[in-house]
Amino acid sequence: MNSGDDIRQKIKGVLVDTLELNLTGDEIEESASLDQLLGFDSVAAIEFVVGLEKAFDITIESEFLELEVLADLDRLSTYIDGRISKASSR
Amino acid sequence: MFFPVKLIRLFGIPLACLYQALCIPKIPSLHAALRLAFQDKRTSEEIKKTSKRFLRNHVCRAIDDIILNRLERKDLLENSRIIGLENLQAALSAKKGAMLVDGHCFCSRVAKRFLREIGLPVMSVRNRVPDDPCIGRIGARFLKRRYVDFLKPLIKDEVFIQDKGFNLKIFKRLRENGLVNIHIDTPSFSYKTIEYPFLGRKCRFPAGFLRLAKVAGCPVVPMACIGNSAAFTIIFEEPFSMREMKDEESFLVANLGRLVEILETQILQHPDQWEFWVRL
Repeated sequence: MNSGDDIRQKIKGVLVDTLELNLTGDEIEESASLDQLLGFDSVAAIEFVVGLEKAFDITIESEFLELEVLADLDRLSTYIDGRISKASSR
Repeated sequence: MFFPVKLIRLFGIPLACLYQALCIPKIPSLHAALRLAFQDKRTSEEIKKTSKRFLRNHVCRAIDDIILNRLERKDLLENSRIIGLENLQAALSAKKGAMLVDGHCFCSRVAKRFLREIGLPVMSVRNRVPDDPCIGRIGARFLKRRYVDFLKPLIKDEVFIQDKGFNLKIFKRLRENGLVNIHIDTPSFSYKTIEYPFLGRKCRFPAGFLRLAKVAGCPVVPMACIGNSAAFTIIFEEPFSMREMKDEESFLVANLGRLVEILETQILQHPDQWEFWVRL
Protein backbone atom coordinates (compact mmCIF):
# COMPACT_ATOMS: atom_id res chain seq x y z
CA MET A 1 0.00 0.00 0.00
CA ASN A 2 1.12 3.57 -0.64
CA SER A 3 2.35 5.44 2.40
CA GLY A 4 1.41 9.09 2.88
CA ASP A 5 4.86 10.20 1.74
CA ASP A 6 4.76 8.03 -1.37
CA ILE A 7 1.42 9.52 -2.30
CA ARG A 8 2.72 13.05 -1.82
CA GLN A 9 5.75 12.31 -3.98
CA LYS A 10 3.58 10.79 -6.67
CA ILE A 11 1.22 13.80 -6.63
CA LYS A 12 4.21 16.08 -7.08
CA GLY A 13 5.42 13.89 -9.93
CA VAL A 14 2.05 14.21 -11.68
CA LEU A 15 2.22 17.96 -11.18
CA VAL A 16 5.68 18.15 -12.71
CA ASP A 17 4.55 16.06 -15.69
CA THR A 18 1.32 18.00 -16.17
CA LEU A 19 3.02 21.36 -16.17
CA GLU A 20 6.15 20.07 -17.85
CA LEU A 21 8.08 21.80 -15.08
CA ASN A 22 11.81 21.84 -15.24
CA LEU A 23 11.92 20.46 -11.68
CA THR A 24 11.75 17.17 -9.88
CA GLY A 25 8.97 16.32 -7.44
CA ASP A 26 11.49 16.73 -4.57
CA GLU A 27 12.13 20.30 -5.58
CA ILE A 28 8.52 21.29 -5.05
CA GLU A 29 8.30 22.60 -1.53
CA GLU A 30 5.86 20.99 0.87
CA SER A 31 4.39 24.38 1.61
CA ALA A 32 3.99 25.28 -2.07
CA SER A 33 0.50 26.25 -3.07
CA LEU A 34 -0.49 24.02 -5.95
CA ASP A 35 -3.01 26.69 -6.86
CA GLN A 36 -0.22 29.11 -7.78
CA LEU A 37 1.81 26.45 -9.54
CA LEU A 38 -1.05 25.18 -11.66
CA GLY A 39 -2.87 28.38 -12.32
CA PHE A 40 -6.26 26.87 -11.70
CA ASP A 41 -7.96 28.98 -14.30
CA SER A 42 -6.17 27.01 -16.94
CA VAL A 43 -6.88 23.61 -18.42
CA ALA A 44 -3.76 22.42 -16.58
CA ALA A 45 -5.93 21.90 -13.48
CA ILE A 46 -8.02 19.39 -15.41
CA GLU A 47 -4.95 17.73 -16.85
CA PHE A 48 -3.71 17.44 -13.27
CA VAL A 49 -6.94 15.71 -12.19
CA VAL A 50 -6.83 13.32 -15.15
CA GLY A 51 -3.13 12.66 -14.46
CA LEU A 52 -3.84 11.86 -10.80
CA GLU A 53 -6.61 9.46 -11.75
CA LYS A 54 -4.31 7.62 -14.13
CA ALA A 55 -1.37 7.55 -11.74
CA PHE A 56 -3.38 6.22 -8.79
CA ASP A 57 -5.97 4.30 -10.79
CA ILE A 58 -8.83 6.02 -9.03
CA THR A 59 -11.71 8.30 -9.96
CA ILE A 60 -11.85 11.61 -8.19
CA GLU A 61 -15.44 12.16 -7.20
CA SER A 62 -17.26 15.24 -8.42
CA GLU A 63 -17.66 16.74 -4.98
CA PHE A 64 -13.88 16.72 -4.58
CA LEU A 65 -13.26 18.52 -7.84
CA GLU A 66 -12.86 21.73 -5.91
CA LEU A 67 -10.03 24.20 -5.91
CA GLU A 68 -9.65 24.00 -2.14
CA VAL A 69 -9.06 20.25 -2.29
CA LEU A 70 -6.85 20.17 -5.35
CA ALA A 71 -4.70 23.08 -4.26
CA ASP A 72 -3.99 21.65 -0.81
CA LEU A 73 -1.36 18.91 -0.87
CA ASP A 74 -2.33 17.61 2.58
CA ARG A 75 -6.04 17.31 1.80
CA LEU A 76 -5.36 15.89 -1.61
CA SER A 77 -3.01 13.18 -0.36
CA THR A 78 -5.41 12.26 2.47
CA TYR A 79 -8.27 12.04 -0.03
CA ILE A 80 -6.27 9.92 -2.47
CA ASP A 81 -5.09 7.68 0.37
CA GLY A 82 -8.74 7.15 1.33
CA ARG A 83 -9.73 6.34 -2.25
CA ILE A 84 -6.89 3.84 -2.62
CA SER A 85 -7.80 2.13 0.68
CA LYS A 86 -11.44 1.96 -0.37
CA ALA A 87 -10.53 0.44 -3.72
CA SER A 88 -8.18 -2.16 -2.19
CA SER A 89 -10.68 -3.18 0.52
CA ARG A 90 -13.22 -4.21 -2.17
CA MET B 1 -48.57 43.95 -12.02
CA PHE B 2 -47.53 41.93 -15.06
CA PHE B 3 -48.78 42.43 -18.57
CA PRO B 4 -49.85 39.21 -20.27
CA VAL B 5 -47.10 37.62 -22.36
CA LYS B 6 -49.15 38.01 -25.54
CA LEU B 7 -49.57 41.72 -24.93
CA ILE B 8 -45.83 42.17 -24.33
CA ARG B 9 -45.17 40.39 -27.62
CA LEU B 10 -47.55 42.81 -29.32
CA PHE B 11 -45.50 45.74 -27.98
CA GLY B 12 -42.69 44.33 -30.07
CA ILE B 13 -44.28 45.49 -33.33
CA PRO B 14 -44.13 49.26 -32.70
CA LEU B 15 -40.91 48.78 -30.77
CA ALA B 16 -39.27 47.11 -33.77
CA CYS B 17 -40.24 50.08 -35.98
CA LEU B 18 -38.84 52.51 -33.43
CA TYR B 19 -35.65 50.49 -33.07
CA GLN B 20 -35.17 50.38 -36.84
CA ALA B 21 -35.50 54.15 -36.94
CA LEU B 22 -32.98 54.54 -34.12
CA CYS B 23 -30.54 52.24 -35.91
CA ILE B 24 -30.52 54.20 -39.16
CA PRO B 25 -26.96 55.51 -38.56
CA LYS B 26 -25.70 51.93 -38.12
CA ILE B 27 -27.45 50.46 -41.14
CA PRO B 28 -24.69 51.25 -43.70
CA SER B 29 -22.10 49.32 -41.64
CA LEU B 30 -24.56 46.45 -41.18
CA HIS B 31 -25.15 46.30 -44.95
CA ALA B 32 -21.41 46.44 -45.56
CA ALA B 33 -20.80 43.51 -43.18
CA LEU B 34 -23.54 41.47 -44.86
CA ARG B 35 -22.26 42.26 -48.38
CA LEU B 36 -18.74 41.29 -47.40
CA ALA B 37 -19.92 38.02 -45.90
CA PHE B 38 -22.03 37.07 -48.90
CA GLN B 39 -19.42 38.19 -51.43
CA ASP B 40 -22.03 39.66 -53.79
CA LYS B 41 -24.10 36.45 -53.76
CA ARG B 42 -27.08 38.43 -52.47
CA THR B 43 -28.74 41.38 -54.14
CA SER B 44 -29.04 44.77 -52.43
CA GLU B 45 -32.71 44.08 -51.93
CA GLU B 46 -31.98 40.79 -50.15
CA ILE B 47 -29.36 42.47 -47.97
CA LYS B 48 -31.89 45.14 -47.00
CA LYS B 49 -34.48 42.51 -46.11
CA THR B 50 -31.96 40.54 -44.06
CA SER B 51 -30.88 43.62 -42.15
CA LYS B 52 -34.52 44.51 -41.42
CA ARG B 53 -35.17 41.02 -40.07
CA PHE B 54 -31.93 41.24 -38.08
CA LEU B 55 -33.08 44.46 -36.38
CA ARG B 56 -36.53 43.02 -35.74
CA ASN B 57 -34.93 39.94 -34.18
CA HIS B 58 -32.95 42.22 -31.87
CA VAL B 59 -36.25 43.53 -30.51
CA CYS B 60 -37.76 40.02 -30.33
CA ARG B 61 -34.81 38.91 -28.27
CA ALA B 62 -35.23 41.83 -25.87
CA ILE B 63 -38.89 40.92 -25.49
CA ASP B 64 -38.02 37.28 -24.98
CA ASP B 65 -35.64 38.29 -22.19
CA ILE B 66 -38.50 40.08 -20.46
CA ILE B 67 -40.93 37.18 -20.74
CA LEU B 68 -38.48 34.26 -20.59
CA ASN B 69 -39.19 33.24 -17.01
CA ARG B 70 -42.91 33.59 -17.55
CA LEU B 71 -43.13 31.24 -20.49
CA GLU B 72 -45.03 28.13 -19.62
CA ARG B 73 -43.78 24.67 -20.28
CA LYS B 74 -46.65 23.85 -22.61
CA ASP B 75 -45.99 26.98 -24.71
CA LEU B 76 -42.32 26.15 -24.97
CA LEU B 77 -43.15 22.61 -26.04
CA GLU B 78 -45.71 23.77 -28.59
CA ASN B 79 -43.47 26.45 -30.08
CA SER B 80 -40.34 24.34 -30.38
CA ARG B 81 -38.81 22.01 -32.88
CA ILE B 82 -35.60 20.05 -32.47
CA ILE B 83 -33.58 18.78 -35.40
CA GLY B 84 -30.88 16.22 -34.70
CA LEU B 85 -31.80 15.29 -31.13
CA GLU B 86 -30.40 11.86 -31.95
CA ASN B 87 -27.01 13.54 -32.46
CA LEU B 88 -27.12 14.94 -28.95
CA GLN B 89 -28.27 11.61 -27.53
CA ALA B 90 -25.44 9.82 -29.35
CA ALA B 91 -22.97 12.29 -27.88
CA LEU B 92 -24.33 11.82 -24.35
CA SER B 93 -24.31 8.04 -24.63
CA ALA B 94 -20.55 8.10 -24.03
CA LYS B 95 -21.36 9.41 -20.51
CA LYS B 96 -18.78 12.14 -20.76
CA GLY B 97 -21.18 15.03 -21.18
CA ALA B 98 -21.14 17.21 -24.27
CA MET B 99 -19.93 20.63 -25.18
CA LEU B 100 -22.49 22.49 -27.26
CA VAL B 101 -20.77 25.08 -29.42
CA ASP B 102 -22.55 27.84 -31.29
CA GLY B 103 -22.38 31.52 -32.06
CA HIS B 104 -24.40 34.26 -30.41
CA CYS B 105 -27.86 33.47 -31.77
CA PHE B 106 -30.76 35.66 -30.71
CA CYS B 107 -32.70 32.60 -29.65
CA SER B 108 -30.00 31.00 -27.53
CA ARG B 109 -31.51 31.80 -24.13
CA VAL B 110 -34.98 30.62 -25.18
CA ALA B 111 -33.46 27.39 -26.48
CA LYS B 112 -31.62 26.77 -23.23
CA ARG B 113 -34.73 27.54 -21.18
CA PHE B 114 -36.57 24.95 -23.30
CA LEU B 115 -33.80 22.37 -22.94
CA ARG B 116 -33.88 22.86 -19.16
CA GLU B 117 -37.62 22.31 -19.29
CA ILE B 118 -37.22 18.95 -21.06
CA GLY B 119 -34.57 17.71 -18.66
CA LEU B 120 -31.44 18.76 -20.54
CA PRO B 121 -30.08 21.66 -18.50
CA VAL B 122 -27.22 23.50 -20.17
CA MET B 123 -24.50 25.35 -18.30
CA SER B 124 -23.66 28.61 -20.07
CA VAL B 125 -20.08 29.85 -20.13
CA ARG B 126 -20.20 33.63 -19.82
CA ASN B 127 -18.03 36.70 -19.62
CA ARG B 128 -18.78 39.04 -16.74
CA VAL B 129 -17.24 41.96 -18.65
CA PRO B 130 -18.20 41.32 -22.27
CA ASP B 131 -16.52 43.30 -25.04
CA ASP B 132 -19.09 45.27 -26.93
CA PRO B 133 -17.76 48.16 -28.99
CA CYS B 134 -21.32 49.19 -29.84
CA ILE B 135 -22.26 49.98 -26.29
CA GLY B 136 -19.96 53.02 -26.01
CA ARG B 137 -17.97 54.24 -23.02
CA ILE B 138 -20.94 55.38 -20.96
CA GLY B 139 -22.82 52.17 -21.68
CA ALA B 140 -19.78 50.11 -20.76
CA ARG B 141 -19.47 51.94 -17.48
CA PHE B 142 -23.09 51.97 -16.36
CA LEU B 143 -25.03 49.39 -18.32
CA LYS B 144 -22.78 46.38 -18.92
CA ARG B 145 -22.73 45.13 -15.35
CA ARG B 146 -26.46 45.73 -14.93
CA TYR B 147 -27.18 43.82 -18.11
CA VAL B 148 -25.08 40.88 -16.95
CA ASP B 149 -26.94 40.95 -13.60
CA PHE B 150 -30.28 41.23 -15.38
CA LEU B 151 -29.50 38.08 -17.35
CA LYS B 152 -28.47 36.05 -14.29
CA PRO B 153 -31.95 34.96 -13.19
CA LEU B 154 -32.82 34.21 -16.81
CA ILE B 155 -29.83 32.03 -17.51
CA LYS B 156 -29.60 30.57 -13.98
CA ASP B 157 -27.13 27.84 -14.89
CA GLU B 158 -23.91 29.66 -15.68
CA VAL B 159 -20.21 29.92 -15.04
CA PHE B 160 -18.16 33.06 -15.59
CA ILE B 161 -14.72 32.93 -17.12
CA GLN B 162 -13.60 35.34 -14.40
CA ASP B 163 -14.52 32.82 -11.67
CA LYS B 164 -11.61 31.07 -10.06
CA GLY B 165 -11.53 27.50 -11.24
CA PHE B 166 -14.22 27.96 -13.86
CA ASN B 167 -12.66 25.21 -15.97
CA LEU B 168 -13.07 22.80 -13.08
CA LYS B 169 -16.75 23.70 -12.85
CA ILE B 170 -17.14 22.94 -16.54
CA PHE B 171 -15.25 19.69 -16.13
CA LYS B 172 -17.44 18.73 -13.18
CA ARG B 173 -20.58 19.29 -15.23
CA LEU B 174 -19.22 17.21 -18.09
CA ARG B 175 -18.31 14.45 -15.65
CA GLU B 176 -21.93 14.32 -14.56
CA ASN B 177 -22.82 13.72 -18.21
CA GLY B 178 -24.09 17.28 -18.40
CA LEU B 179 -24.19 19.88 -21.15
CA VAL B 180 -22.03 22.97 -21.40
CA ASN B 181 -22.60 25.70 -23.97
CA ILE B 182 -19.80 27.85 -25.35
CA HIS B 183 -20.24 30.64 -27.85
CA ILE B 184 -17.18 30.34 -30.02
CA ASP B 185 -17.53 33.78 -31.60
CA THR B 186 -16.14 35.45 -28.47
CA PRO B 187 -12.34 35.59 -28.46
CA SER B 188 -12.25 36.83 -24.85
CA PHE B 189 -13.34 33.34 -23.71
CA SER B 190 -9.79 32.08 -23.89
CA TYR B 191 -6.23 33.22 -23.26
CA LYS B 192 -5.41 31.48 -26.52
CA THR B 193 -7.02 32.69 -29.72
CA ILE B 194 -6.47 31.78 -33.36
CA GLU B 195 -7.24 33.90 -36.40
CA TYR B 196 -9.32 32.55 -39.30
CA PRO B 197 -11.02 34.02 -42.33
CA PHE B 198 -14.63 34.49 -41.30
CA LEU B 199 -17.52 36.12 -43.13
CA GLY B 200 -15.16 37.90 -45.51
CA ARG B 201 -12.79 39.18 -42.81
CA LYS B 202 -10.28 37.86 -40.37
CA CYS B 203 -11.49 37.22 -36.85
CA ARG B 204 -10.00 35.64 -33.76
CA PHE B 205 -11.61 32.66 -32.04
CA PRO B 206 -11.02 31.13 -28.60
CA ALA B 207 -9.18 27.81 -28.54
CA GLY B 208 -9.11 26.90 -24.84
CA PHE B 209 -12.42 25.01 -24.88
CA LEU B 210 -11.05 22.52 -27.42
CA ARG B 211 -8.15 21.69 -25.14
CA LEU B 212 -10.62 21.23 -22.33
CA ALA B 213 -12.81 18.96 -24.47
CA LYS B 214 -9.78 16.90 -25.43
CA VAL B 215 -8.58 16.44 -21.85
CA ALA B 216 -12.10 15.71 -20.58
CA GLY B 217 -12.67 13.36 -23.53
CA CYS B 218 -16.11 14.85 -24.16
CA PRO B 219 -17.79 15.18 -27.55
CA VAL B 220 -18.27 18.59 -29.12
CA VAL B 221 -21.66 19.15 -30.74
CA PRO B 222 -22.22 22.18 -32.99
CA MET B 223 -25.62 23.70 -32.29
CA ALA B 224 -27.78 26.42 -33.82
CA CYS B 225 -30.87 28.13 -32.42
CA ILE B 226 -33.25 29.85 -34.80
CA GLY B 227 -36.37 31.94 -34.18
CA ASN B 228 -37.80 33.41 -31.01
CA SER B 229 -39.99 32.24 -28.15
CA ALA B 230 -43.08 32.27 -30.39
CA ALA B 231 -41.55 29.64 -32.72
CA PHE B 232 -38.04 28.30 -32.55
CA THR B 233 -35.87 25.49 -33.84
CA ILE B 234 -32.81 23.98 -32.20
CA ILE B 235 -30.42 22.15 -34.49
CA PHE B 236 -27.87 19.70 -33.14
CA GLU B 237 -25.28 18.77 -35.72
CA GLU B 238 -23.43 15.47 -35.66
CA PRO B 239 -20.83 15.23 -32.89
CA PHE B 240 -17.66 16.81 -34.16
CA SER B 241 -14.90 14.29 -34.67
CA MET B 242 -11.62 15.83 -33.64
CA ARG B 243 -8.61 15.23 -35.82
CA GLU B 244 -5.57 14.04 -33.97
CA MET B 245 -2.47 16.02 -34.90
CA LYS B 246 1.21 15.74 -34.15
CA ASP B 247 1.27 18.59 -31.62
CA GLU B 248 -1.18 20.65 -29.67
CA GLU B 249 -0.84 23.81 -31.75
CA SER B 250 -1.72 22.03 -34.99
CA PHE B 251 -4.52 20.17 -33.19
CA LEU B 252 -6.10 23.46 -32.14
CA VAL B 253 -5.56 25.20 -35.48
CA ALA B 254 -7.04 22.33 -37.52
CA ASN B 255 -10.02 21.52 -35.33
CA LEU B 256 -11.01 25.04 -34.39
CA GLY B 257 -10.79 25.97 -38.07
CA ARG B 258 -13.33 23.29 -38.95
CA LEU B 259 -15.68 24.46 -36.19
CA VAL B 260 -15.38 28.04 -37.42
CA GLU B 261 -16.36 26.84 -40.90
CA ILE B 262 -19.46 25.13 -39.46
CA LEU B 263 -20.38 28.31 -37.61
CA GLU B 264 -19.89 30.40 -40.74
CA THR B 265 -22.14 28.08 -42.75
CA GLN B 266 -24.85 28.28 -40.08
CA ILE B 267 -24.66 32.09 -40.03
CA LEU B 268 -24.84 32.35 -43.81
CA GLN B 269 -27.89 30.07 -43.81
CA HIS B 270 -29.64 32.14 -41.13
CA PRO B 271 -27.95 35.55 -41.26
CA ASP B 272 -30.74 37.38 -39.45
CA GLN B 273 -30.30 35.13 -36.39
CA TRP B 274 -26.72 36.03 -35.52
CA GLU B 275 -26.38 39.00 -33.24
CA PHE B 276 -22.76 40.01 -33.87
CA TRP B 277 -23.02 41.51 -37.35
CA VAL B 278 -22.69 45.00 -36.00
CA ARG B 279 -19.62 44.05 -33.98
CA LEU B 280 -17.60 42.79 -36.92
